[in-house]
Amino acid sequence: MAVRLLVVDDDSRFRESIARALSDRGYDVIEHAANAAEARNGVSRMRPDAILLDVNLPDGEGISLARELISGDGSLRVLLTSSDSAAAPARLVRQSGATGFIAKDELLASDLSRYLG
Amino acid sequence: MTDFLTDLGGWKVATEDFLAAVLSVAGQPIWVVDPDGRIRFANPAAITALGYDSADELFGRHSHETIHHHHPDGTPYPAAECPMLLPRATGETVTRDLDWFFRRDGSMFPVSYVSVPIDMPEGRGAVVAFTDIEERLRAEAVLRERDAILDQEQASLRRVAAVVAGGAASGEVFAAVTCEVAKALELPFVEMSRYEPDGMATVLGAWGEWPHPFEAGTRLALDGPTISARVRDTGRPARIDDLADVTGALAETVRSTGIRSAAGAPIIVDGRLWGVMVTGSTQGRPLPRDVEQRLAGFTELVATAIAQSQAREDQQRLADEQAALRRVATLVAGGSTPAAVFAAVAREVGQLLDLPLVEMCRYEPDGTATVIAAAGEHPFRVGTSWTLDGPSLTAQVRRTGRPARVDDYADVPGTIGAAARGGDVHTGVGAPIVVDGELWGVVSAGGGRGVRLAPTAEIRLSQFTELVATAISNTQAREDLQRLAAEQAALRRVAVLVARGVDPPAVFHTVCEETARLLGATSVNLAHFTEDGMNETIAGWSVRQTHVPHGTLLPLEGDTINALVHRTAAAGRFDSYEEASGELAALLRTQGIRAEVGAPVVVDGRVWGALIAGTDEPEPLPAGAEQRLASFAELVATAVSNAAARAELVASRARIAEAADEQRRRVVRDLHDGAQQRLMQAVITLQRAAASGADPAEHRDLVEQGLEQTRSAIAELRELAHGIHPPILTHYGLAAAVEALADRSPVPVRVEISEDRYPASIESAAYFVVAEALTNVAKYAHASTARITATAEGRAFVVTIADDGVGGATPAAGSGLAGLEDRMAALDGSLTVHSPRGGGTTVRAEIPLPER
Repeated sequence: MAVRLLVVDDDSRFRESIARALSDRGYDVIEHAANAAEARNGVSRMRPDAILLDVNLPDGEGISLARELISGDGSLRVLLTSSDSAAAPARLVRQSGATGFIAKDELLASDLSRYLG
Repeated sequence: MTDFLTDLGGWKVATEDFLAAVLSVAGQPIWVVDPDGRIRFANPAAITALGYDSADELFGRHSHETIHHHHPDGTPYPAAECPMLLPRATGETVTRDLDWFFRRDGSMFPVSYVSVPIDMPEGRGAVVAFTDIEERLRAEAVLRERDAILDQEQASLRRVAAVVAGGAASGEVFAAVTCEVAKALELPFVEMSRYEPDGMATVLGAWGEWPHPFEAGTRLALDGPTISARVRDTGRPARIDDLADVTGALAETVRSTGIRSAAGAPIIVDGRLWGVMVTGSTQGRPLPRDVEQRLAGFTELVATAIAQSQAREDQQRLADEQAALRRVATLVAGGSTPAAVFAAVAREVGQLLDLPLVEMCRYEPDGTATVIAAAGEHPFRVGTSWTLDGPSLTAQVRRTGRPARVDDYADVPGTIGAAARGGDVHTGVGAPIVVDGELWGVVSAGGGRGVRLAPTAEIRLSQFTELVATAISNTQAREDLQRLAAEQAALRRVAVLVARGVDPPAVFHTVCEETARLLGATSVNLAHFTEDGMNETIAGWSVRQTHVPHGTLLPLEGDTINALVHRTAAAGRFDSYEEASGELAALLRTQGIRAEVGAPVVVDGRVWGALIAGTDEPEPLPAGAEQRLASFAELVATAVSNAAARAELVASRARIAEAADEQRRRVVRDLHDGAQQRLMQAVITLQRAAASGADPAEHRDLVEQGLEQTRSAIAELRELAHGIHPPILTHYGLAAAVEALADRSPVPVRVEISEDRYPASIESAAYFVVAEALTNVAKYAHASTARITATAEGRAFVVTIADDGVGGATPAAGSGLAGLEDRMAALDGSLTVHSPRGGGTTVRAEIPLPER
């Protein structure tokens, strides 16, 4: 069964290209969200299994959003990302419940199943 | 004789016998006259009184012709007028208080008698009883004489009383009194004198029938046991009937006037032995028996008069003194100068105390006294200076701080005593002038020969000197106020310049000029002590071009106020440059400067320079000038400090701007050298891949290369961004950002930073301090651990980075930490490094937090 994935990023070009890349890898990208509000909406409507979440959203900050969503659904697997590899303090990532943080340019070189399922 | 019987209470006696017996024993002369006027009987008393030997001489004789024949004035006395015989005719008793009988020897004597009629066989006769009243008359005459004398004396006393009551006990009064007494007591010489405290007596007045040396005012030495001495010693009247053996010069003088006997009575005023009244008489005219008692009557009167007169005098003197004090006090209250007040005091004191030689002295610190005002002819002239050797008034008052007196300058050794004697000053009193609690000087009032000091003269003088002291104090207070006001005004003018941020050179020049005018200095210079021990003259002003020229640069050594102030960091003075050594001192001498005072200009705890006031006049600047100078020196220090602070501010801002520019240049360079290069390479590589045609291996390789180059570019950009401002800091705060730094540190770091957020500029400054410090820890410290804390401490945010390494770090110019100092300065913060060798390094940054 394919993992149902929500992609959250304010950069539409990145969303498009990463969604295509992840589809090729067998993920079912069910929804895109461009900001935290859309992300919450998407989670409550579509009930995804996993979320790829950029920490820099225009209306919110990714790590705290991750914590919020995970507290609503403990089975959610959230992978944080950013174009800046040093953008997310490790401790905060751990505390948020997210499965990890990978810089955008490393995503396709990593084993995503560990983080997204 | 018929034989009748008389009944004596039952006892019958022969009348004749009885009568005969009674008549013979009766002491009263009695005779009987018959109707013819003949004496028929006379008792023994009558016979004796009339000077007869026996009754026979009288019997049968006509009584009137025998004993009553003439009046006392010699005119005949007819028998018909004889009152004794009248009762024969009239049968009435006749008494006469005064009549005159003749004795047998023809002498007359006064009698009083009573004649009683008696019936006889032949007719009526008379019995006459008479009394010889000669003794009585004589006694009465003596009494009358004495009464007359007493009356005279009373009259004299009353006259004397009137004289002394009429006016003060003056010389005229005393002369009048002695004259009256002499006349009343019929004495040829009377003299009155007053006893003096020194054992002498002063003649108040004398009267004599002949010339004598005892003029009013003469002072007598009571040597020898003269009357005056006796009375003084005993306090009682005395007499000496023969002065021949009395020793002493006074007795000699007395004898030389012809006086051989003397008597005296004390004059006691208010219970005190005050003086004596003395009388003398010549050979052959002995003094009356009770003359000393009679003198005492007069001396009592005189004493009363003197007491009253003294009381009046005292009251008058008190009133005069009060009036005088009021006059002087009015001057003082009206703000008169001390000189005017002194002149008034001298006038009043001269009159009140009879001490016309007055002077006022000021005590100098060197122990001498300077005369600053004088009245009357005496050797203590204004401006003269006197040493206080010997117990003169001036010296006594200085020593005791209390009023003093000199009863006779004959006994006073020392400079002042000699001058006084030479100037005919014989006696005097002095009282201290105490101004604001300090002994300032003395007023002395003296008199010439013959002046006698009243017992309380010095106390009375001190009442006047109090007024002088008040005048001086007022004047000083006024002068002080004026000087203070001038000083404050000058300081304000300079302070305004300083506050307005006027250019330092202008401020310095103004300070020099204001200081010179205020202190009465003829030149003022401001000197700067350079780092290399030179004295740089940076401003100056003078009345006569004597100040050191602007720009003069000389070694700061030698005997100058500059060197002194530099060494001691305190105000000081140099009273003479005569013998001073050194180039600067030589220059001062050339300029004509003789003495200087200086005060340090202290900036940031260091003696930056000195403000120096000098004079080209012979007198050095007055005491206290260096302290007044200090107020101006402080203003100069403020101006210098402000100027330095402003300069530093400007430089700091310039450095910050420069640093910002440098950072921008670096960013552009790094962008160009780094990311831009990489992206260029990636483009080229991918272009080659696009053009690679059919070979999938080559194609894949090129694409991999392009990917690698692009990622490098991303990494470069990331580093650049971090170097300007790390995103974690912005989004997650100082704690998170420092933790990220700590993670990258090769030395284990403990981070104790709260999650609180602070203003971005503060977090940023703190972050870069930590970053730089951690870089140094990694590079130089050789430490095993480090600890970072950051927290608010009161009004500042304090960051510390401490390591246990080798220490010995100094923020060298151009090092990373030095560059951060400017950033700190821009935030008004501070950066300190504590790095003892071998003891680890602690970097501490303190940044003020904004007001809540």
